[in-house]
Amino acid sequence: MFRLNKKLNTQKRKVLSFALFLFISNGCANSMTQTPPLGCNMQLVTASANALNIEFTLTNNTDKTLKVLPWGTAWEGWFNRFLDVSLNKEKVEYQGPMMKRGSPNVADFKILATKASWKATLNLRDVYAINSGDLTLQYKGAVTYVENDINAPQLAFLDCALNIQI
Amino acid sequence: MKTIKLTTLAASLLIANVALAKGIEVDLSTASQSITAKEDLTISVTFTNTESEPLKLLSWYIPTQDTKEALFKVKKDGYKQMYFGAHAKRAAPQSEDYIEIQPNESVSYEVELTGLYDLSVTGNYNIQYAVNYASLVQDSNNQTMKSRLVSKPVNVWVEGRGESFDDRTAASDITTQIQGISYTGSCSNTEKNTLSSALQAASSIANNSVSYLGNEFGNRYNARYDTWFGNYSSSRWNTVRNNFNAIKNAIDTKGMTFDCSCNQSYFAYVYPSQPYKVYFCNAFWNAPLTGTDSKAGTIIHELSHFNIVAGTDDIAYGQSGAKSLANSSPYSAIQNADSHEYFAENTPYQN
Repeated sequence: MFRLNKKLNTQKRKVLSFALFLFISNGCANSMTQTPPLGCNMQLVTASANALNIEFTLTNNTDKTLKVLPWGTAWEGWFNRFLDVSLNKEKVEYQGPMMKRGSPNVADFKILATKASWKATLNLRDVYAINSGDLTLQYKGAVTYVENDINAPQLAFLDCALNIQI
Repeated sequence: MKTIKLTTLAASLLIANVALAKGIEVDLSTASQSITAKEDLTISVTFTNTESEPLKLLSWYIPTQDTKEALFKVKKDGYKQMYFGAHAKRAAPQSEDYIEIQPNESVSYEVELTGLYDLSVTGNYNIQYAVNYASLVQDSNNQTMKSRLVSKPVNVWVEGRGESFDDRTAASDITTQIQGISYTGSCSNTEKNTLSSALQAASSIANNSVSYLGNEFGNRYNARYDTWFGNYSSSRWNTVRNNFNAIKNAIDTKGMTFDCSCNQSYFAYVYPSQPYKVYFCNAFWNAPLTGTDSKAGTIIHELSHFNIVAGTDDIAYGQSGAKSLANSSPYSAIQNADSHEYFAENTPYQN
């Protein structure tokens, strides 16, 4: 009896440590190699005296259709601050509005199919006073999305930046 | 002699005929002869086609939500009162800018005047519709028939609110407790009263938040803080406390400018670089005074956005969004405007 118990315990321990190993390696894989559910990209389109047009791309990297809330994101327009902007390492203040909208309804979420993208081109000079120099843009807003239940919103902190000379 | 007299008679008949051919007549009426400072002044404007053919009236001069001209002459003690509304600069009118009124047909519109004219001083006001525009009224052949429309005046006794135009311009220099509100964008009396109550209510929940956050040792692990700002850390607590101190300070000591011109479905908006002007939109007027997504909470939310107050962002929306943010990223929750609003509203109540 005693021997059997010991064997069982050893087996249990093995199973446990294997599970722990799986958990750790999975955790590492998640944080290190897995692509984020929503990807983001910024690209300079045109630069002129009045316009500094940046194209923002949001991509659904998951295998599922997502419902994404455009509120406060680049894919809605200049209704909120979603960028950190600096010119020659000095912070440039956002001059646009910030809209308050309460709680979103189902209709406020828009379908973003698997691997599909939204693109939006916005003129930075509409809301930032930018002359010339070394310009850095960092997307800082989060995007709210759901798979089904809008009462269980998930947040994707987008990670994209752009550094250009203008 | 006789001939001359006849000619004169004919001429005067002709003149009488022209005078009778009024085209469109305009009449004003009010529901009451006097209003208190808490009431709005609504005027009915009725246009009647007195001709036997359809006539066209330029819609720019019809009082509606979108009117961008001064349509009225408002006088007190013989002095013309200031018009606060919009003046549009436009190209020549097109045919779609006219409405057609059938023979003997009347069309009526209502317009609220306390938001448009300076009715701030107690007294008897003399109000007249008076518009002058080159092609104001046209006949069916698009020929201008009349360029001037004037109604008989109506008289209304108005109890003043004590905010003349001079007071409004001076308001930005005054630093009084809460009362320092200037209004722009044609706020009606009802709207001004609502905004004043909303600011009082905002002041009360800001004070409550400040006192809660002042008791760090008693409250740091309590549900109210944890729900909206996540796990306690002393530096994050400090940030939130400083934010609410700044919000309270803004309410207590800074002159606010509240604007009522927004007709969109949002609650409100601000330009974070332009303190302390807040634009209120449709959803705000339908919100409860206190509680979740309330008028009071909206003011907390908006003030928190100003760079020199707390410089918050809109990261997550609604109570479920804000709760999820507090769970997953307390660092972001303390930068989120809705998190501040829900913490201040504290509905349902938590310790």
